[in-house]
Amino acid sequence: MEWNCWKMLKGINMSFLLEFKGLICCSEMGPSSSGKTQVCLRTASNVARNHMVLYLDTGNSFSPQRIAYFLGKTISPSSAQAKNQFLQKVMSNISCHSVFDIFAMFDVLHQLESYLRCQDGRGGFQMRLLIVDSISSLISPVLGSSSTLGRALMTSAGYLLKKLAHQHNLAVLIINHTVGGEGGSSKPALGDSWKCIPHSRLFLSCDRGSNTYNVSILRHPSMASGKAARFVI
Amino acid sequence: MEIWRLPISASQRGKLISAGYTSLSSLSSISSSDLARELKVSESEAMNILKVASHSRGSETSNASCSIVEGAQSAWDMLHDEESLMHITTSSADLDNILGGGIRCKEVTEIGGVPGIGKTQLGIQVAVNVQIPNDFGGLGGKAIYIDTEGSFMVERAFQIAEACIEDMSEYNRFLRKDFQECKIKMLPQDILENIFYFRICSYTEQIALINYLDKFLSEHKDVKVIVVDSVTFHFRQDFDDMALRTRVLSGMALKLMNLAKRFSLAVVLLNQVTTKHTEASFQLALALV
Repeated sequence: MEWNCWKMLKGINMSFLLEFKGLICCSEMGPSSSGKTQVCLRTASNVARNHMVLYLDTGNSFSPQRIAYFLGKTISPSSAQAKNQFLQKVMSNISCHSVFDIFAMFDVLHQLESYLRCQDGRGGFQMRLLIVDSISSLISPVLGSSSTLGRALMTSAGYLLKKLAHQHNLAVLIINHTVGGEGGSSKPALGDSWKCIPHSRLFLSCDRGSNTYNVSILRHPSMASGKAARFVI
Repeated sequence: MEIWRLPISASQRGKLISAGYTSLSSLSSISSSDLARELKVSESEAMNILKVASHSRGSETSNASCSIVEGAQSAWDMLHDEESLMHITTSSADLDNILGGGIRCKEVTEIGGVPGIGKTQLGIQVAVNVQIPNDFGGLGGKAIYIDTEGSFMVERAFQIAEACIEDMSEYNRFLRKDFQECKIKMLPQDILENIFYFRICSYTEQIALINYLDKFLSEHKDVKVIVVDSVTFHFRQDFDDMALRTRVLSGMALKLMNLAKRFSLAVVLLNQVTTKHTEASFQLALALV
């Protein structure tokens, strides 16, 4: 079943289409306050109209008020009760869970897997989007220099996410941070071992002092990397 | 190998794998004394391992029908919870306005400033204000004050407590003009009694205390605020390994966020500032962000 990710990014005024077909594991990275969580919240509010969304939050950055604001902007002004009902219907499709260490995340992902296995049989609202905000804060405390366990956990987390995306037609959106690299340029926080895990990678940045954000593609299976776009949330 | 997923120490994991226990199902039928004998560990350690393993196994087989995962909340419920959350006032209307009503529970608030600007005073004020009873719009809870710099002064806390009680009785008089003037039964000593004070002298003590807070908070359920005065003080000097420092600090921040969320309390971190040299200008930035 083709899952067109354009619908996912509809709320953002991008100058060209970003199409992701089939299984997706998309990783977004950017420096602090470059709009990563806002993009996730916007995506979640768009997808939640028709599908279910699970938001794994590691830094208390999930804000239901912001989601209500995004949803409120899109519907036409009507009675307060109708708006309330709409908000309730859509926001009940979003589940948020706080995870603060990597072992808790593994537990949650395994529960999610068993849930998805029984979901595939029946109809109704299906879970289509998993957002992990942010995976670098979960993995950085365990990535030690002495033991290799941290890297093993990171790769097994990555493959578990990929497996979920592939087997159950789930779109997975992962947030990563950037750190300063050599020469002052920034590079993604989880380094080379993580590079091959997501299918596509986007880099977000924010112009200082303005409201516009830049996003550029670092890696994508079918589109050329280096394409950039600006948007306003 | 599923043993990787268990939150146990590396040496225990190594012993389990070398003894042949590679999956969770292999641990299901063994008793703790047999396991202790095979791994050559103490019986309490073996019991701990089995408990952790059965917990992970239990979470796999449970199939919650209403929620996707245990403990997840829908955004709609969270919206309503947020609206009903109480705030801790800072006794300054402007500051409360900026914070959206005051310091919020279930959140970690970081306050930074140059030395001498009043961060410790604000911390003490918050620790006193959390004890304002429910009738006066407060939380009526206790406070934990973690002091790393040694700047907590009991005399000053006593003064602030007295002022708070005076404020409350004036508020009482103003509002309930037609009733008999009901005296505030709180004394400054009671307020001081409800502040749990910890003095930290090194970073190992700080890490140990944050780990211990979990147990402390399950015993004292009415604690509503944790104030850490200078969370980064011990990490700024004498720490050789920079990467380890970042990892430890971020792990500590995650633990504090976990505590805030689970026990519904507010965490206030006081931090120092440094000057950062960016783009040929000097800017103040929070230390060790």
